[in-house]
Amino acid sequence: MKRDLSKTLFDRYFACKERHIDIELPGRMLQHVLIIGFFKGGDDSEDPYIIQWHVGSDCDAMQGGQDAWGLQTGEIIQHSDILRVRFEEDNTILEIK
Amino acid sequence: MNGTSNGSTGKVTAASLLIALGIIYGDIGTSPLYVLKAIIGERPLSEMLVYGGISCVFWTLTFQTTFKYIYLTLKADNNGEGGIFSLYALVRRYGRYLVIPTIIGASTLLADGIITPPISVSSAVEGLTSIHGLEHLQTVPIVIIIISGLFFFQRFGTHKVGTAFGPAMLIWFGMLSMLGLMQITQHPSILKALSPVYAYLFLAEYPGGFVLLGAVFLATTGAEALYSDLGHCGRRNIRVTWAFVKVCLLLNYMGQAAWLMSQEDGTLLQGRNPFFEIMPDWFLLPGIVIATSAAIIASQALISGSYTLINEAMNMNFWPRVAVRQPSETKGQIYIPSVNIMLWAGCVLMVLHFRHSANMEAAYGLAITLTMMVTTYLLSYYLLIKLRWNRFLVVLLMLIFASIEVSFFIANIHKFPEGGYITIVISVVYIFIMYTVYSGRKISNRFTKFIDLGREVQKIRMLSADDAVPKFSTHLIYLTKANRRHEIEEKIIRSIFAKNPKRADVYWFVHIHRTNEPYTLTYDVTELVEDKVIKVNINVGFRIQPRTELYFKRIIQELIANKELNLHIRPDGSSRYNNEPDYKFVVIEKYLSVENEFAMGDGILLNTYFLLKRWGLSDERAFGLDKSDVVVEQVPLVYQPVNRLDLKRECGSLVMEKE
Repeated sequence: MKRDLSKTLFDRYFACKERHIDIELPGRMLQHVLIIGFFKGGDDSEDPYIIQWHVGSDCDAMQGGQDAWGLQTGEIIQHSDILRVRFEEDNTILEIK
Repeated sequence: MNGTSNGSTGKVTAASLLIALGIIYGDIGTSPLYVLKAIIGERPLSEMLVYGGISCVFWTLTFQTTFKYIYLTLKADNNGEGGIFSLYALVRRYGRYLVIPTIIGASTLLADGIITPPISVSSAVEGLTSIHGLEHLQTVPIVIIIISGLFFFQRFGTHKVGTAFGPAMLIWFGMLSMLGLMQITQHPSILKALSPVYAYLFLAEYPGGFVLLGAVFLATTGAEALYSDLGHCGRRNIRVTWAFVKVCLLLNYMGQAAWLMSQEDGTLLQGRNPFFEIMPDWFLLPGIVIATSAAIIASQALISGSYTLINEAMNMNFWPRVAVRQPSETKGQIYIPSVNIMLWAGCVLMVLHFRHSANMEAAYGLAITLTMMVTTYLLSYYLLIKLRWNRFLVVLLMLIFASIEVSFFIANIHKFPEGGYITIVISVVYIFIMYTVYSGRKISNRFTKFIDLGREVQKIRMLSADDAVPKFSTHLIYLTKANRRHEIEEKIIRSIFAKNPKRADVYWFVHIHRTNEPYTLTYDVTELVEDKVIKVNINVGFRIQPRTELYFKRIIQELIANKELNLHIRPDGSSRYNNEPDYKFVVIEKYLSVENEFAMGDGILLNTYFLLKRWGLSDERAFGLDKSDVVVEQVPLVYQPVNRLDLKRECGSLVMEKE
């Protein structure tokens, strides 16, 4: 069975004390962001553990990822779009693709 | 069902064997009432037809029932439990899309079950027309009265009459073998029919012999039920009793065949049932009474099996939540009112539509061949991955069973225009319901955002200490889907802080984890902030109906008794007047937001899912919460937000009107 790297990212991220990360996506890079939330896949084998990540700046994270009107701040990205993630805590890189 | 769980191996005692006889052999045990009649039909009697038919029945019972189900499939026990959902729970991690065949298998099993009570009871009651003077008796009203009575008494459980099932079935099997033996002694050469040569000749040379496999298949339709009842009797009890049951069944089948061979070559049965023809005249009435009792026990087993199947489907998110009652203290005995009404209506309609068992035989068996094929498919995963059997051996076994079952399916497909379409239509409805609930729930879960609970803890602590905010409750409990200690749904945090923040002394987050084992009931507790933010994980087996409030109160009692929690005194001093802690459960229900714009397929799926959800049991009742302690909050599910919104402001639209 193929290793589920969304779970690796999940475990690794929430084990960090300093949680800022850089996320490389096709054609662009999200720098110095935090994971605000995540959407889980199903409990069968079709989906990865996490299918989408909600990421944003410190300010977005502080407000829980939404503004005073309840509209979303930050960005929702598909796990399948992530190329690699760099953890600022120890400068390690997790290659997703 | 009225047995206690014996586990997969279960002790073998005289009592346990008797219980097994009463619970699991109703369906397969009453097959002699109609199998030979269905094989012969209106064909002229001949040695090739009778010997070939019996030979096919014998080898079907040997390969399909004894080898596939009794020897192989019973190995696949899920902590003592069997059945298609238990098998799926065992292997679902190992294969993509196993859910689709499982839904098909369970649906067809349920659908074919609607014919089992009508065909068994009709066949038995029609025996009355063999009595002189009752040849023109209308059996339909009698069958409807018996079936309706059976469904009416379901609400009271079977624990009182259940003890009589075993002895009643023992009498039935005793009668089968005695009647059979009496005929075999008259025509002992019938034993030759056990040779597979006759089966081969029947299939290869008898005109339309292959299609008659559809009638032969009726002898093994109850095999799937043997597996479903594994948890009630235990593997060893089933295996020991099957040896006895198989001998009794074969003696009776061969007895009927012996009687047929005693008739002149070319004779037509003209509606006569060889099962009743082998009874001496003086025994006809008691024989019919015993047969009717066995048919009622068979129907009872089917009804109980359907409750169990729906309950499992519900707990595995394949069926909308409906009320489940426990009519007795017997473990595993349940009663589902909605299923009871559905089955009763289905059975009565079947009787009214088909009227005679002969017509039902033409429809019976088509759907269940699909269930058997699915069991074979899932079983191959189990043998390969769990038991680590040799790949070639598994492939070989599966090829053998697949060829047998595909043959039966091809033979049974001829039943489609003769009534088989009814069970297929019912199966399609079940498949639609199961697929909708499964997919709808999956989509709904996909749009549940989780956040890090650790980040919210400080805010929760502040809110709890803020006297300026009116107190909502001493204990505020949320049901969460988050299975990890430090995660929580975003909607729960919004519920706590949005609009009027909910201040409480203690915040509980309770997660109900449905396990793949049938009867687990355990819990663990994590205090994220001492006596303030507590996460409880309750593991509930897939056969158990959750009673969250009861579990929760018990957990608190235990924590207080162990001095792990200091909750008995409320800080505001009101505990001077009563020391009962006040609870408030908050249940967050999703509904489909009007903001969604769907493609047609998704729209039908999700709208049906939310419709079924509305018709089904509310979340608070499904989780076993008392209404007075529950606050229900509704949140919209935005699945496909509106992409384009051409909202334009008209120039100078802000007009200040002067007085």
